[in-house]
Amino acid sequence: MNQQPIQPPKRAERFFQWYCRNELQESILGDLQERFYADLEKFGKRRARLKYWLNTIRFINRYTLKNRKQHTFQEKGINVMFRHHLLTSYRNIARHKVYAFINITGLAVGLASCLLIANFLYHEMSFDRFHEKSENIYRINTFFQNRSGDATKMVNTPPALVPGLMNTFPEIKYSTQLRYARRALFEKENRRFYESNGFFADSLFLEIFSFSLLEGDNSVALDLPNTIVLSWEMAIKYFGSSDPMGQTLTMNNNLTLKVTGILAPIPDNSHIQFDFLVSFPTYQVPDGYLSDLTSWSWLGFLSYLELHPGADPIALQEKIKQLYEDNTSENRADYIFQVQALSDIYLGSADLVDDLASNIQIGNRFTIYALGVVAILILLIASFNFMNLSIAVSVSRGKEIGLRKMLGADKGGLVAQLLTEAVVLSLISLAIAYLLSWLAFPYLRDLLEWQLSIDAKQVLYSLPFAFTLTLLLGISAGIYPALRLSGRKAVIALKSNMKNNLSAGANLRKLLIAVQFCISISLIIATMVITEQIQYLSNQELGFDQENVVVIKLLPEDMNRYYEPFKNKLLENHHIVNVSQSQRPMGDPWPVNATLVVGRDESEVKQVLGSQVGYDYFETMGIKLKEGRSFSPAFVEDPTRSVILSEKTVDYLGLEDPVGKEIWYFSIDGPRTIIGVVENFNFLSLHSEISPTLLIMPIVDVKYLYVRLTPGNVGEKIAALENAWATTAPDVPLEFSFMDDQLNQLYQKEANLSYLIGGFSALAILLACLGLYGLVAFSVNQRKKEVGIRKILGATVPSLLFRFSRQYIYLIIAAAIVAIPAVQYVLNIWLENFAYRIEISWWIYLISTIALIVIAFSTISYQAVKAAMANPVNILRDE
Amino acid sequence: MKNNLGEFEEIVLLLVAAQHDEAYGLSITEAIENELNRSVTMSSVHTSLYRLEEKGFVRSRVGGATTMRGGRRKRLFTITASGKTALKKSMAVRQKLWNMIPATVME
Repeated sequence: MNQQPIQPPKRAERFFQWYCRNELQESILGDLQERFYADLEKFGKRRARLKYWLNTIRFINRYTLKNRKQHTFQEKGINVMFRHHLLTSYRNIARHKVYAFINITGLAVGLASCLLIANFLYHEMSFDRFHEKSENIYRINTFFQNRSGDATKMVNTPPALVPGLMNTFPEIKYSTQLRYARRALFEKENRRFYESNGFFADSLFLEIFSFSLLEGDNSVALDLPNTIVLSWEMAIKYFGSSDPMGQTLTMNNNLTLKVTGILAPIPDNSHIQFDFLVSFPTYQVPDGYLSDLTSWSWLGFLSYLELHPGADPIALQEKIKQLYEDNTSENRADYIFQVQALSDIYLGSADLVDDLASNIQIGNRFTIYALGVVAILILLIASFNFMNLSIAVSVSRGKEIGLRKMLGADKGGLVAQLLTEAVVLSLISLAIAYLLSWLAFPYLRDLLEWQLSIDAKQVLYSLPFAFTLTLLLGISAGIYPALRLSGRKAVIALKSNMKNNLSAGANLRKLLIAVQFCISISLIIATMVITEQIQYLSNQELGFDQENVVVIKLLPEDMNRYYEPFKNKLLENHHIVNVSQSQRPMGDPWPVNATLVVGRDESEVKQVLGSQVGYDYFETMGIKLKEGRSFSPAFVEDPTRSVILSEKTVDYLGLEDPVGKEIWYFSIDGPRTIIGVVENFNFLSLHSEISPTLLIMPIVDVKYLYVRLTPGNVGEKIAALENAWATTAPDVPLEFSFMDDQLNQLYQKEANLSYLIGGFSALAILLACLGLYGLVAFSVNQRKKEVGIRKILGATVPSLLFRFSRQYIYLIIAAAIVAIPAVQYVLNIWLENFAYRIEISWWIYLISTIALIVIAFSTISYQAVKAAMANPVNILRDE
Repeated sequence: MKNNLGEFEEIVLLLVAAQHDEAYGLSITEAIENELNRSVTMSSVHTSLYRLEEKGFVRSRVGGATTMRGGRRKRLFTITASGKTALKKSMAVRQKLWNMIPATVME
């Protein structure tokens, strides 16, 4: 036996020679080999070979890599081949212009939609992540169950909670609470404006959250009473070009606040939005409130915590509950405190009620999922189109491939060529997609009121992902025809047997089309159901008349001063039907308060929503009185001792013959007598059921003034209104809106969702049709001769049309059978969000299936009719 | 700072000077492994040598082949005048810093 001397691994050597500069190769390879023999003695063959490999790989760096400008002969060869592939790709695109166009547009539009959706989803999911300590920040929510078992989940907490937490639990680093400062009137010299977008907050708030100050010191800016930090916009509004720091600003006519900081802009993706923060020590509980800052029951604040890293929020919940129980007597409300992670707040709060209607942004997880699914579906449709057409077109190239093979092309080269073509097409589409999404973004943003911008950074982030995806798409579209065609024998390919060519990939194509039909049907159904649901909601009886009511927002003290004179002035005008006032508007949540029927046990306390309203409220709102009477100046006891219930409340409290009975509710000097019952009305969005509601006369804090106008000619009446205001209250700015506009905003999110899904569904269906069109055009072209022969043998145009379209119609019906149960399941989940919802009726399924058949048929028939009408002589004469 | 010596570069340069006229990639790698007890990859020594050559501190020429190297020639490195200056400068800097240490500290 001839013992072979052990050699360094040949492959590694070749690999090294491949990448390394020629002039360095010899010396390094020599070193490597010397080392190899040294290692061989020390560690043995296996380790030495491994080390040789590792060293070879480690040597890759900028000193050793070949300068790409100096080609070796082989490299030149590869380059030439690649250039050749590009050239043939270009020629192929030029030859099949229509298919290339359909292919590229379809994919580009699909990719552009996905990019836009991805951009939106990225924004939605990025909420609150910009805070440096976002991982450790939590909000406390209060859940309570009244004794009848209805659960209410609120984002608000009692004011005694945060002071109680401070320095009590070691895992809490900082805690802070906010009190909203809505409807505040600010004044600086002659500049008077309402600002509705602010909070009372302390310095810890700026400590916990990364809201930075452009000027002023984060850690002390909100420590002292009567200080305020402002947004930059607000500073300009009141102080113009002069430096606002240290200047003063009057709030609500009675507080003089010193500016101690200027806020940096609040990022769009913050769930808390505000224009100003007044220091928390400034906050005084308004006169007439029955609670103070030591209350454990008044749910009027927002509480945030920063925990030490690694702290267990679940365990903390239990401790907080214990703290609550230790500080309250037996007779407490059944509060459960939930500690919610900051990252969950924006998307995870859809079922939480904010009693204060603070300026908190709440997202919707369903929208995220729905859009994500739509994006994936669009991408599927677009890529299936791409694959289908690529496969179909490549089949017609049997002859070309056969010739190439005969001339000596090897399989690898052919695969590379066909793949290059598909990849080139897909990459062109990607480039166009970026352009399209960039062009479409501003329109979409305005249409849907998206609070986001597209920036270069995001494009940069998405690029590697989109590029990989597109590359994969190109490869998967190219791989099937590439392998199939290149694997065929040259002779067979050259014979170009029609049947053989046509059947290539036919089953795969059919499957892809069936999936596209499934998606199209699902999207049609979803769009119809969502639209119908939104329609249904906006047509629901609310129990009050929202048309022709003007809502004016005022400060309570202005309301006290000017309400009567303004009302009297207005009522002189015969276009003004009624004037009234209330504490809370329709559309905002109303406060919940404990209610007890006089004579019942305290265990039967129930939570009822209530608002304080003025005389003529029911007449102004168009709420119908069912029993008894409404509040009237003729009865002196009405402002303090009377209450009006809704029908639902009567049932909820279990009252029979309610008028004349007495209940405890917000009672200062004794129980209130029920003087009337009104029909149910729904002042919240129809996501929720009508809640038990009651109404009393004003005690404090009445901010909303309502004016009912006669229908028609709004401009003239508004002028009269403004005129009346200017003569009665010249020193107070007037801000008004129409109630129906306000209420419509409650459904804005759903409306946007339906636009979005509708729009993208239409796009998806269009894309599917585009693909179908291309495919049919191609297959009809291939079957021209068949058509000609059939016509000669007596086939009619309709029968030919049927022949071409029937397989697609079968496919649609099969797709419908698969898609309908799935889409029904998903839509039912969505509908459960609504207290008032439609039933999905069978005809929606029928209509959408028929619609798709019609769409598909008309797509097919253009091509099919063209082929069937052609004179067979023209087709058959050559060859 | 293009012509400054890094710590590792300084070691390599010192060894080039030490192995006068006999220094090549592997010999320096082994010297670092054996003399300094420091694990180092061949490629980093080579890279460092190329960088030193770029900076003009060493010069290379093609030298002798052995059978152990499969008949391949070595690339031998020698230190240049500016390499020597750089080494001296870096020693002077160190010496200066050493001199600044009060005698009591190092006792």
